[in-house]
Parts: sequence; structure tokens; C-alpha cells
Amino acid sequence: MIIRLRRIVFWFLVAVYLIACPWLLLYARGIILQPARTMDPLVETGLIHVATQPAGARLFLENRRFAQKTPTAIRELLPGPYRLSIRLNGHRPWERTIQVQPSKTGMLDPILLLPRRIRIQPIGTTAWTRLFPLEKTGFLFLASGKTAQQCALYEVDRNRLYPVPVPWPKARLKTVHHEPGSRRLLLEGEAGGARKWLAVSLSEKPAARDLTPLIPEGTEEILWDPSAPEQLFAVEGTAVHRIDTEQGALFPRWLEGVRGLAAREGQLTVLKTSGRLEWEPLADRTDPTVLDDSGEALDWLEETFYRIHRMTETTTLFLGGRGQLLSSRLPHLLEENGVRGLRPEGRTKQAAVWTGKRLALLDLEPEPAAAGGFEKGATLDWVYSRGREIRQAVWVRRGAYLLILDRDTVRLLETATRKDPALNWSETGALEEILEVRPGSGIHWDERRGILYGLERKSGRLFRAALAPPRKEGL
Amino acid sequence: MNFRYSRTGLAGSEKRLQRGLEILPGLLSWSVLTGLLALTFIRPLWAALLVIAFLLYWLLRMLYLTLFLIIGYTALTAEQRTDWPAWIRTLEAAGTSGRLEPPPVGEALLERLAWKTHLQESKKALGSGGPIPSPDEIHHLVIFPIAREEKAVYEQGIESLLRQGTPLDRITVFLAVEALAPEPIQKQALEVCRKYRNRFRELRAVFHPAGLPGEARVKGANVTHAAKEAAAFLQEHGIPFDRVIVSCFDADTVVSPAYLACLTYHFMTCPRRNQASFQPIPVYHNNIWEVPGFARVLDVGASFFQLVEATNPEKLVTFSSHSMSFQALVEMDYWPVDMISDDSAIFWKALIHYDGDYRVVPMYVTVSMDVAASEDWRRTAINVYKQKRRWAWGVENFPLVARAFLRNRAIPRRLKIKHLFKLLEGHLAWATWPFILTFIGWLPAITAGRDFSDTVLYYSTPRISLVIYQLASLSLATSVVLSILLLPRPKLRFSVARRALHLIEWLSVPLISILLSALPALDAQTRLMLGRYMEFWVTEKKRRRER
Repeated sequence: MIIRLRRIVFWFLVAVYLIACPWLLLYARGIILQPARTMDPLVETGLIHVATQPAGARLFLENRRFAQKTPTAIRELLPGPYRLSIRLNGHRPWERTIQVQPSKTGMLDPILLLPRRIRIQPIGTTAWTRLFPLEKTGFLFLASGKTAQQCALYEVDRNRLYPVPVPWPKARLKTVHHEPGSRRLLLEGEAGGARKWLAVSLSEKPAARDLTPLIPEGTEEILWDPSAPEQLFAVEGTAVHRIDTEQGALFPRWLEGVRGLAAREGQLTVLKTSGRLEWEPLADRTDPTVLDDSGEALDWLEETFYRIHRMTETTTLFLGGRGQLLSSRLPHLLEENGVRGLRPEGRTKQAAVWTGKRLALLDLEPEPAAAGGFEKGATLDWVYSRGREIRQAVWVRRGAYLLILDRDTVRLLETATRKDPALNWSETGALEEILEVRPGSGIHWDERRGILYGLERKSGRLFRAALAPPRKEGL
Repeated sequence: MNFRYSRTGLAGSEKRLQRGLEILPGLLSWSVLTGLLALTFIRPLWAALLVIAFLLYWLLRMLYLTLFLIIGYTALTAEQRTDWPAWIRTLEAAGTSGRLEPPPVGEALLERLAWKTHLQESKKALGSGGPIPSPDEIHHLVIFPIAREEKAVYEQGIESLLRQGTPLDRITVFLAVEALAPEPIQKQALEVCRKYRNRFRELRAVFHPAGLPGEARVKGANVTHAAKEAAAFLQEHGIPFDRVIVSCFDADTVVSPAYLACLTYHFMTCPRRNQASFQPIPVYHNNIWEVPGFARVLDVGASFFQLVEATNPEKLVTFSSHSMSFQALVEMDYWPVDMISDDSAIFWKALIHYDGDYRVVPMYVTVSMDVAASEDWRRTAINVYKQKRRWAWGVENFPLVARAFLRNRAIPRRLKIKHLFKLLEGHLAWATWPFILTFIGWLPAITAGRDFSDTVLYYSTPRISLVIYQLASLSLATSVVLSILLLPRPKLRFSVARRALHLIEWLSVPLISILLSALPALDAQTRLMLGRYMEFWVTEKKRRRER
């Protein structure tokens, strides 16, 4: 009896498998059966995946409410355009026409839903005039006047303000130099016609050290490796002086014939006037590695200093003094002049590049060409063209958005959906106005907490404003 | 068919064929794993589709096995109430009078179902025309192999034979002791013989000399030597081989009180009893509460596997402690003396010898053995790994069976295909499924490039997989419930927390199925593939002192 039962069950399950498996595979690919379509009842559907921050938003597809809240996937959509609205109480609505394609997914992840009313929470009462974000340190540099004594450090995590001990309080504060991630910043001031340099450590009790005697007067650029802030490199013409701040020693003309320089992770990348590009460990310079000796760089090398930005294994960018931007990939010249800043985004392998009026995105690792086809070179994709005076751009939510400080207005630009034509990205549709800040000051974005820091436009008080929910660890 | 069931002593094309067939299982397993892995990188779309197809197949298979696990367990429970001696007397009386007067039956449904089954079996046996042997004619030969085990290990087994309903003068016990065993072990064997000799028809220790030509250091050589000595003993005492049932146990085997009576019954009702083996349900209850949770879960799983196999007698293969006709054993020249997996090899040898006319009769009665334990959990894990690898070494039968089937024209093709497919597929699944389920199944989502990550399939696969795993958890839940019912009561009272921990142990199934099931199986197949044949490793068996 058991044997007979076994046979029945076995063949039943075989039949179930033979019937269910093909249907399951078709369903998995998004193919559904529509018997009404007599010509071709099997239809390839598409899917829209929506994940918002914050989660739990309601979805409306063609004005009909979808049962589930975000994050969710809307499945079994016949190919074609759909009007998608996302709404969450207390937040600005989001709307877009999405083109659903067969067997494809429209990825809307993440969609940042901004609060309808952005609440500004002042921090302290001091009227600041300048905010300088010290990237990847958790500190902000604040100045309340033109002199060096009117500055302080603000630690974001602890919400504390620390005065900066300046040995020459009457000196006029000119520039703040900082390397992202460095626990030291360099203040450049001027007193009695002479330049002053002060190194300040970023800590609960900031320590300041006067480096004026060490830094040559003719210094045009100064940079250092964030992981080794005790070694400074001062650029003067085509010479580079090395300053050892711990030993208090200056090594004049430590490097000669230099057109460009970068110091990062214990390594120096050097672009020589001969066009040769090489790198060497800071600790041992005896045997530099030559990255390029073809001389190709000479075609576009000008008599200016280039800051070198090693973006990825395959892409290096060179930003010259006039704002000319060059790439190690073809075509080399990306922008002739006017580039004011660039900001890489590691996860999505892209960089934001801006002039005063426009902002572009640059793919740092463009997709290879199909076999036999032409390789698409690195090009700037201008995504924001209505700028007045773009001063800063900060990546938000790991490359999905950009916060743009344009003169005194902070705007949020959605960038994640621009590459998928089905998602109908447009500059107008992707841009949101956030708030206004004090002219001439910067902003700071706390990615982990989703909080924007800036100076209030009128009062100059430091404020924080929550724009997004805290980011979950690992996401 | 006369077929030398051994991989040694081959030459020429036969040797090459043997070697090729040895490579096949390992090659298939590695091909499946590496092929799927490569596919997840090269063609993630195809890999995702294959994974879905596999998961559906796995789910249906799990549900199928769970159904028959429940049936098997139900049968085991039902048979616990069967009065085997009564059925034996019924058959004996029917053999004489020609009339079948079955014993009375209780009211319980399971009891009635079991009774009905035995009634049909008895009717069939009587209707077959051949004489049914009287229980007084049937003798039991029990062999306990001893390599290094102390008497505390096998004395329990001997004591369990004393508790059988079968008259003790029809039980002969041979202790098959390796001559290489340490002297204290040999002395203990002799002590045990002296202690229990007068209780049985005969209880003697037989010492297996080392280094006999053609033998490897395997249990099969030891028990074969003892069986030959037993054959001489039986002949000396005029006991015909066709009335002897030989039970080849492990040193730690403890039989349930109904074992020999159940065995006698099945021998009497089996239509071709001298071309049959009798397979009980192995459980590992001797020390089940003294071992770490992972070992307990694994061995309960092994019992469950045998319970399921018992519901499919057409494809049942002998495993571990079992019994068979002594005549059949002698006719096919005993157990293989150069193979580790003598327990399953004897079935294949018999099937080939009798041209496919050989069967295994499932017996819903338990034999209990030890879990391979040691002083601490690390050594226990190593012991368990090695034991599972030895079990998986049963794959060494595949090339031999395949070669024999290729030559044998008498065995029906359908039977050959059925057995070969099950043998190969079973080992392939053993070595690969846990890896596919735990790792490879999720890889397409992780390794997906942009061309795959924006497809509907990329989003559907995890969702479908989750639903399948949730449905399959029904199978896990069933196993947990049945394990609680199957396990013996612990000797010590455990706290509620400790008992709850026993339930949670089953959540470790994905991990232990990889480390202590699939990995040893892959290890064994790889060794066979590379020609690194395994030496026999005696499973460490230790008993804690009574608290």
C-alpha cells in the first residue's frame, strides 16, 4: 500500500513540477498570461522598485493607490508610461512619469522625500560670517569676523564649540586650507603685509602651532597627506618645499620640475614638467613607479600648477590653476577653464564637477564598448545649468543626490535616476529648493544623520536642519 | 552472476573502466558546484533561473520526504504495539493446520492498520505455496565486531539480546575481535564470553588475524572471518544455513526487545527469504543526551532518512546494523574484505549475485547505537566529520555496481537504471545541495552586473526564494516535532531552558549540513576521484560513567 501511495505521490509531484516550473520561471522574468490577447497571450511585464527615505510612503500609480507602502516593488506592469506619485505625510510629494519596459526594472532607490517644512534649529547665538566644512572630520570651521581671533571649531557629534588659540589675533584671516580627512587644518592670515600660517589640530582642545617661519613666502599652493599631516608640501613655481612640522625643519626645493602634485595614503603622485607622471611612497623615494612616460601630457600641460586627484585605479584628474580640468583617460581635456571644484563619490564611481554656472557629473569608470565598437570617452554630463555662483557640492545618500550651494541657495539635485531613460530624468524635475544660507559661507552635510548645517541667512547663527532620516548602517 | 565485487585485482580495460567510474561522482559534484558558481558570474540571468528551478524541485522533494517521514514514523509507532510472538505463533499454527487465525487486535487505529498489514502478509506467505519455516527451526547468529572497544560498549548489546522474547538456545553470538586489538581488549572479550556463554546457545570470541592476503583493514574482513568460523560451527551442529538469520551489528548496537521476534516474523513471511536482507531503523539513543546539539541533530536526521527509506522497499539498501539470510551470505562469499562500506556493499553484492532477485525488507523496529562522541565538542565534531565521511564513502559502490550492471544481462534494465540513478543522484545531492542552498543560491543577486540588476528577474529571485524557504520550513518544523517524539526521555531531568535549547538546535541545520554532512561527502567523493582510498578509521565510542 505504501509503495502504491509513493508512486501516486511521486508522479503527482512530478506533474506539479513540470507544470509549475515553467510558469514560475516565466513569472520570475515578469512574463504573465493575458488570455484576452489572443495573438500573443504571454506578455513581458516590467517592474518598478521604489524605496523612499523615510520609508512607509504611499504610492499612487495613475492616481490609483497601490496597496503596499515603500519600500516595495510594483509588479506585473504592462509596458508603457505610468504616472507615479509618492506621498508621505509632512513631506513634499514626488511625481514622475515612468516608462515601464518589458522584463526591466525601474529603480527608484532611494527617493529622498524632503520635509514639507524644513525646520531650522539654531545652535548658539553667535553671528558667524563664514562656515568652512572640514570634510570627513566631523568638525566645522567658523569665523565671526575678518580677524583670526574671531574663529572657532565646532564639533558636530558633541555639539560643542572650541576656540582656536591664535598667536596673532589681529591678523586678517585670508584662507582656510584643509585636506579631506585630515585632523589638522592650516589657517593662512596676513598681518602687516606678511603672510602668517597657523596649524590647528582638530580636537577637543585644539592646539595651534605657528608655522610662519617654516613656510616660504612665495608659496602658491600648500597641501599634505591627511594620513601624515606633519609633512606639508608648499608649491612655489615648479619647486616643492617640504616642511616637517614635527622637527620644525624646512627642506627647500625638495622636488624640482613639478607641474602637479597629490599626497594621499602615504604616497606622492607627481606630474613633472617633462610630462612624466610618477608616484612614490613618502617614506622611501628611492625608486618611484612611473605611471606614464609617453609625454602625451605635454600636449595639454600649461604653465600652472595642477592638483592631482587620483579618483580610481584607472582615472586621474588634473585641476589647474585656471580651472582647466584634464583626465588621464581620453579625451584628456574635459574643460578648458573655470572649474572651481570637484567632488568624487566612491560607491557610484562618479564625480561632481562645477564651474560658477554649471555643474556636471563625470563617470570615473565608463562602461567599456561592445566588441568592435567605439569606446565612449570620459565626458562631462552637465546636469545643472542654471547656476549663479556654485560654491560647493556635496553627495547625499551615496551618490543618489547632490546638495548644491549656489551663491546663498541650497538646492537638492536628484542624480541617481538620470542614467535610465525610462525614468525621465530632467533638470527641472530633479531639482528641489531647500533653503537659503548666509552668502559667502559654506554648508556641511552629515550623511549619517541626514542633517544639513549652515549659517542662517540673516542672523548668521549656526543651524542644523534635518532633511533625511538617519542612514542605516551598512546601507 | 559471478562478479568479483572488488576494485582490486583488475587489469586492462576493466581497470580503466573502474577508474573512470570512480572519477564520475566526484567530477559531477565538483562540476555542479563550480559550474553553478561560474554561471553566477558569467550568466547571472541563467544562474538565477536555474536556482529557481532547483529550489522548486528541492521544495517538492522536501515535502515528499516529509510526507513519508510522517508515514514512516507512524508505521514505527504502530509497530511498537505489535505482538510479534503472537504473529509468529499464528503463522506456525497456520503452517500446520492450513488455517490462519490471527491474534486479537486492539481498538487503536494505528494498531488496527498494522494488524491488517500483517494479516495480508501472513495470507500472502501462506498462499505462496512454499513451506513456512517453524520458529523452532530458525536460528539467530549475531556478530559483534570489536576493534578497540571496551566491554562496556558491547556488553549492553549482549544484554539486550538476553531481553528478547526469542528462546536463548536459538541465539549464537560471535565476538569478532581483531587480533591487532590491544591485549586488554582481547582479555575483556574472553571475560565477556565466559560471563554470558551459558546464557546463549553459544557465545565465543573469534580472533581475526591481521594481514591475510586480499584483505584490507576493514570491518568486513573481520566479520567475514567470524562468519566463516560460525559456518563451521553451524555445520558441526547440523543447523542448516537456510534456517539461519545472521545479524551483523556494530560493537555499540543495542537492539530493542522486539528485534529478534520481529526479524523472525519477517523471515517467515518473506516470500524468498533466502534472498533477502532485513533492515531495522537505526537510532543513536545510547548516548544521545551526552553529546553536543549538532551531533544530536545530525544523527536524528540519519534516523529520519532511514525512516523515509523504509517506506520505499523497492529501492531500500542495507545500512549499518542489519540482518540477512545466512545462506545468501555464504552463497555470495560473505562480506567484501577490502571495502569500508560493507553494510551497503553486501546488498549490492547480493543484488548482482542473484541477478536482481534480491530484496531488503524494512523492519519498523529500532536498533540503537552511539553518537560518535568524545571528551569535548571539538573532538566530537572531528569524530562526527570522520564518521560521516566514512558513511559517504559508500560512493565506492557506484563504480562496482555500474561495472556489474554493464556486464549483467539478466538484471532488468529498468531495475539497473533505477538503482544506478538513485545511487549516483543520492551521493550527488548529499555533496552539493547544502552548498547550493546556502551559498550559490544567493550569489546571482550579489554578483549581478548592471545588465542583470535592472531586470525583473533580479527582484523576483529573492522573493521567490524566500517563499520557497518559508514553505520548506514546514518540513523543518515537522522534523523538530518528530525528533522530540522519537528521542528517548533523558535520564536526567533537564530544565525548561535546556529543553528549549534542544528545539533551537535545529536552527543550526543549515550550518551543520554544510560542515558535517555535505563537506564530508564531497571529501569522500574527491578522495575516490583522486584515487586516495580511505583507510578504515574506527569510530571513537566512549561511554560516560553513570552519574
